[in-house]
Amino acid sequence: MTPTPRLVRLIEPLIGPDFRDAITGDLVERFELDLSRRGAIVAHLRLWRECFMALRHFGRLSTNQRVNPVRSFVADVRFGLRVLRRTPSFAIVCIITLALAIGPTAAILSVVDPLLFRPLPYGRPERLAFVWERGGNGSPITTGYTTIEDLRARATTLASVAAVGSWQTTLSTQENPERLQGARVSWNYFRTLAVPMMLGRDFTREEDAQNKNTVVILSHTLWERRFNADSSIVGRTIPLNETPRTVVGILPADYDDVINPAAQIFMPLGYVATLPWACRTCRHLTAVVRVRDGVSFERATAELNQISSQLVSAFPKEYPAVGFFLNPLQQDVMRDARPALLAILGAVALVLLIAVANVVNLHLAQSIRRETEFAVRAALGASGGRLIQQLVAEGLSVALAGVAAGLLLARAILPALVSRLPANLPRRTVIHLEGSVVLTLAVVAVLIALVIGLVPAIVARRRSLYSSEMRSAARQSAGHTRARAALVVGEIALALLLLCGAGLLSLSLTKLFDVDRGFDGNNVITLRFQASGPRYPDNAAILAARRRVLATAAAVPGVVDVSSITLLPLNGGLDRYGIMAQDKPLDHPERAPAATGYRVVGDYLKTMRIRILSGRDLTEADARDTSANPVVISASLARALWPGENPINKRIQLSNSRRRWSTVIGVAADVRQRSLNDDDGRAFYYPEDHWLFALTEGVLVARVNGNPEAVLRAVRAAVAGVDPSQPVVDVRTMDDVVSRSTAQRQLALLLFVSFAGLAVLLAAAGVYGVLAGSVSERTKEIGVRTALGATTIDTYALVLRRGLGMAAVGLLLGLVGAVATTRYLQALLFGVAPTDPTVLLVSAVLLFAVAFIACLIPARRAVHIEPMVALRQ
Amino acid sequence: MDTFGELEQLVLLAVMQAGADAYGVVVQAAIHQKARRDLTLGTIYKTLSRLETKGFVTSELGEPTAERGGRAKRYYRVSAAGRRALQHQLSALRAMAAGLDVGLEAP
Repeated sequence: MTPTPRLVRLIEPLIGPDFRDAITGDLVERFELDLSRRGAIVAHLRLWRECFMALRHFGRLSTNQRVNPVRSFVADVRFGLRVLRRTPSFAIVCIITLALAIGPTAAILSVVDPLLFRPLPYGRPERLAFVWERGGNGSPITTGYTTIEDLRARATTLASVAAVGSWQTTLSTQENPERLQGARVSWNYFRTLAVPMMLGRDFTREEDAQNKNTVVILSHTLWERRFNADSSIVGRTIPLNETPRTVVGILPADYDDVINPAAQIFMPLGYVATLPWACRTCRHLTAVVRVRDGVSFERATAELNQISSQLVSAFPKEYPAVGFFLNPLQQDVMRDARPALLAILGAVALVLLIAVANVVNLHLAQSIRRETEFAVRAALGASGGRLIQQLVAEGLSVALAGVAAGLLLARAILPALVSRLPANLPRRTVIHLEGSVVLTLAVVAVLIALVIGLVPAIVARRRSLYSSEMRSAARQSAGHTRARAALVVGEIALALLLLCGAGLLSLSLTKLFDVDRGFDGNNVITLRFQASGPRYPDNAAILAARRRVLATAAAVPGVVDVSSITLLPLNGGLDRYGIMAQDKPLDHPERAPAATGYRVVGDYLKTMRIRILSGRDLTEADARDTSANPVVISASLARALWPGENPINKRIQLSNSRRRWSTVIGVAADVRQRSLNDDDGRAFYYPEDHWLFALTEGVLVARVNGNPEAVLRAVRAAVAGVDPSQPVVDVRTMDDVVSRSTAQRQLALLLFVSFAGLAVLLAAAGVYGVLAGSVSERTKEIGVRTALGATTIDTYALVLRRGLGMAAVGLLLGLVGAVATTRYLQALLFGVAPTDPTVLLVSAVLLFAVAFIACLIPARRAVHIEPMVALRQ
Repeated sequence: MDTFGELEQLVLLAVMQAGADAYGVVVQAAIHQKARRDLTLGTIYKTLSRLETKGFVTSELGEPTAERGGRAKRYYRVSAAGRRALQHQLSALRAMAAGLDVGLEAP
């Protein structure tokens, strides 16, 4: 027997018994016919239409109802559209108001949903976690290879333990050499994540060994971008750092590495425990684990802590503290972005609320005008429910149009929004306007329609209690006016919340930019350059290339000072070393104070205008002199090592290194490395020539005269000309680098300011609308007052008292709300308390001023009412 | 005498076209094929029930069939009154159209 489609089964009982078999049977037949002739999509679309029309003509929801609800609803929607067409300005204002709120809502939802709520694109992602070691100050830190090996061998609660470290390489093709961000991973990394290759194969255990790790896996985007999605690339070699490497696999298109969001290429780690950089204290690897099925994270953590105690008792000098952190992957990667995203989501929800309040307000005003129409309908026998149904149907037309317009707006703003997200945010490639968001908004539209329909109805019903009385015009609209005033008060309160948020964020950002960052980034330009491949086999060759680049850049007109550094401040890198003072031996080297290590070529401190507080700067003579071993340290490091003492000529050594003792020759001002708001400022500057190894990549820093952008282009061209096979990347001004380091705050600020502006505008429109309505209703009364001798000031006072009264109540409620909610912004604030009285006060005054202006327009109209004209009306 | 609208006229003609096998899907297909009108079953049954009230068609239930999920068909047949009304209406139409170039010729 032919199966009956679910939709048909659903409507079958709703169709009158006389025609039930005939119609539903025909529907089944028709559907089967369409399915075989025209395909599933057409068949389903037709089925929906057929069922809808069948219900319309033959449906009934209960046996004794005369009116068919589907039919009457269709009629109501049609009627609603006609009403809207009759008052196009009203419809347009409502739709634009809703669209202005729904557009940003849809865009923000599209961003927040994949980042915070959608599961990561791995197999059973809820079982994946990071394992961090516990640092000396109790915070999570990365881990070393040998520790990861121990975890793999001992932990029975973990199904799989993988290691990942950062890696950069140069795709050294003849044309267009490119610096690639990549990752070095243990052979079981993709197996741990449960990600199969799209083409080729995964790494094998044998390939994860020293000198055997000559294979790579490409990301889908790199494969498409640089290799034209050519599947024959699998098995062939590509030149990396001018050395051939075999491509063994291509990752699927939806693969997204949340651990290294920028990684495009992967190679096996290739460590063995005997390598010097595989030690327990060589903490440059991240451990990613899959917790065994059926094992709780608590149990796994307990086992990890047990292993940690064993390790610490076996190697007491190699671990700063006992314990591991087992952090679920998704929570951990979104830890920094989460508070900002949630705050923005909250803000956009407030905007939506205000917009809905405004539209309801407009409908309330409209329903006063349509009073006669409703009265006639009621007199002709329309029940209360029937009238509400009509209002909801009208609301639905407005709400759906608003959602549609809002979605168009969202499509326009989403790309701009995504481009402003912090560059290091994972998962940004998966942000699209999704069906789920559209569906959510459709539900929102229905809710809005219900509110639009129900609020006027409730107000009207309350009023009908004294419908038998003779009512004055003022009395008639009393219920409406009260409801409208309440809505406006709510709008003002919500707008104040947003305004306070915007104020707090803006003050934070101002204070953040005022922070003494320790260097002067004005007129400083920077770029990264390379010296990698067989032509640069050792430190001497790399450093010679470094000096050639610096000399070339120095010759460019406009360049004043030029130098190179291994790490640029505020650019997202971190390179920390434990520092020991010779005169203060520590029994536990892992607890030595950590400091950021900068290796320099040239006058870096001078280029960046980093102040020398005592002693002297490093010179080129220091770099050439291999017998002395000079170092400049920051003031904070000096204080940490020798509080209250003169550090000059004292000697330090990097913990756990076999390097020689270095003599402190100078103390420099602290520089913000990690971020403007969070850094301990401990650092040391070391001549790169004296370091054990030279990095193949250097960061050029130059101070320039005149327009930095113009000099930047010239320097870039000059540097690229030194060795055209070496890519030059991240060409920027230092101001741009600093600005980018605050991308998340700037985005939050931009959104809050836009939302607050919109909210204030809507609230002002609400105040204006209510007052304008009340003035035109009270024209007669005001005319009488004027005739009886009320002065201009009296009339102003009459209108303003009402408007400013609403504003005052709204502001009061808003202040209470602000005190209660601004703490959710805490993570985004800097140097300002969430309840900063100045910000709250300034926001309130600003909003009051806007409300005052909104009151003035109707008040002026009231003043100009001619008593005779008013009375004759 | 009762007259009828264009929709009723279409459905009535389609029932006649379908002969002994006149039920919803067949009527719908006939109208779609000959008149290029895409009517839904709901509309067709509504029209048929109106025609039945006016006495222009009669209907009877058939046997339940498997391809309809075990549901019976309702077969329609044009009554004598229906046939007369149709003839009356069409001849009126032809008379009005005579001599005009509107594509409706006398037989």
